[in-house]
Amino acid sequence: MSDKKQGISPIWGMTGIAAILGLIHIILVIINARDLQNQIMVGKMSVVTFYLFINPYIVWILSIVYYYWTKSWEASARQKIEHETKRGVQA
Amino acid sequence: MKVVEISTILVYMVAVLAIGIGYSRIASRSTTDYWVANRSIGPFVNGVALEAANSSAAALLGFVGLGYSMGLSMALLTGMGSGMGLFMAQILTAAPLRRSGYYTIPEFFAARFSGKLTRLVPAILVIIWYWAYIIPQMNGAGLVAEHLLNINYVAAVLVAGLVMVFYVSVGGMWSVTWTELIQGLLLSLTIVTVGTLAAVKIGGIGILMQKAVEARPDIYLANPKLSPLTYIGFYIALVCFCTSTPHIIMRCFTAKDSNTARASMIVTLFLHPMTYTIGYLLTVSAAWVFFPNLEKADMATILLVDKLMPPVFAGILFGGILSAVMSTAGSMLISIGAAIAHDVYGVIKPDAPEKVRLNTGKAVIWIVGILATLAAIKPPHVIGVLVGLVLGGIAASFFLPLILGMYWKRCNYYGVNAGMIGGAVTYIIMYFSKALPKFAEILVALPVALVLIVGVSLLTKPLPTENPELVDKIHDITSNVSAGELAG
Repeated sequence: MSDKKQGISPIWGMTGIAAILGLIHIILVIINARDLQNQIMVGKMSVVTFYLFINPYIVWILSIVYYYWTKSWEASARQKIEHETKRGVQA
Repeated sequence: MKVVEISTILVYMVAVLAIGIGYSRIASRSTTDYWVANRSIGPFVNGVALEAANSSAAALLGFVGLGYSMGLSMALLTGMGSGMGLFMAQILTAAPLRRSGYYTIPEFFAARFSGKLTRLVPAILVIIWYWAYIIPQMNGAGLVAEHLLNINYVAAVLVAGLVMVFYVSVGGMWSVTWTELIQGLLLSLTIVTVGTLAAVKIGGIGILMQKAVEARPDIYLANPKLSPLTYIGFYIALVCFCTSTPHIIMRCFTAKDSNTARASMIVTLFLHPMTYTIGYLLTVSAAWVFFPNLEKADMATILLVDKLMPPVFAGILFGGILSAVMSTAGSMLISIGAAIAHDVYGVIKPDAPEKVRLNTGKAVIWIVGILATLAAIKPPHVIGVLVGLVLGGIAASFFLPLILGMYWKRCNYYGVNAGMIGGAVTYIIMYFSKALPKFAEILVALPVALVLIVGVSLLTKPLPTENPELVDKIHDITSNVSAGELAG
């Protein structure tokens, strides 16, 4: 499967986004969980707690995006393979 | 005795037993029916069942206790970690494993790498880790029954254990799936309902949160007493666990096709935040408002149900907690059954007739289930910590071998076995040596497993019987025939 012509594979695209989301969490923990007094707040929650709260909703939206991205990516890959097979037969 | 609550629970028990009996004939048709529900489950049912399998007694009791004692961020961390793990399963493992057409993870390993060891090692690890995981589940059932229904702890554990073993053994994956549909919906509603009632009683979410801060000023802050390594390690362990644990991954094998396997995850990830975000926010806050001096933090959910709910609803919500226990323990029980009867017995007697393999599976589920129930009568103390040990162990054993086995053709028999055993042993050593902060053991075990898999694979020659082409087959989006079906 040639990834170059079809654009980035959804597997690696979404794995990258997931890694970035994890990395944001790690960075927030390192810079914001050192003491009780100096934590950045979002309402009543520290930014770490707030990020943990909203993250599963972000992930749910990403799972929908991934599902449709994969479907269209696979459809286009199938089309490409069919096209190449036809050209091979004609040749 | 609380007659109304107990009657509600009896209705629940009769319902799950009826599902088991109802599916007993269908499940006995073939091993495909028994272990993977004939690969015919649609995305909604499969997704709800997956969430039920994922949410254990720890989700409703232990993690609320964790939030109560260590701050809300620790409870929410379980939601982010497991949610991200399920998302990674959707991306990395769901479709390829469904395309593989096998029944179990050990069977996939055996097909990919050949050799008895690659089937036996993961099967034995499944048996050890899940055995440890089922015991705190049964312990949770006993605790809840004792405090909420005033039933004797031992009697409660025995009844819950026997009912679960019965419906799993007679109905196989069919009854596990359909009971998990009820259980998944019940348990997702449980914590949200308890928390919402608490908020209504206090006068709204804003007032509940304000009162919680007055009771414990640091409740919504990141806990600075915990090492960042604890946060990061716990998160990574949860992600790797949910991506690769066999009792969740088996749901990929039950889906109709690879698209259904991926769509199931959307349903799961929709239900997931109900318990793990809004549910925890409300329940942990309410626990601090109503019970600011709790000695046993794991009891917070139970005490809230007891305080806030009218008897019939308390019975239904107890059913929710029992559902969390039974769904996870049931999924693990069928995974252990498959590991012993399909994988270990499959290696010892590869030519055994289908009927014999099926009956062996049923017998194994009875034996393992009864032994786990008896062990739960005198159980370990804190549910959350024990689950922490088991989830890290599974993550260290399976995550990298599975991912590299599926995506890297050069990965070979020696490398994958070295990584699986090395990851598990390193995790256990780190856990008991207490050289690192709590939950951080995985940060050593995973790199060790990675070095072993990659290093040993590059330094050794693959066995001639290995099947690196399987990597292409399970990623072949044009094929309608799975690799397992091709192999017969």
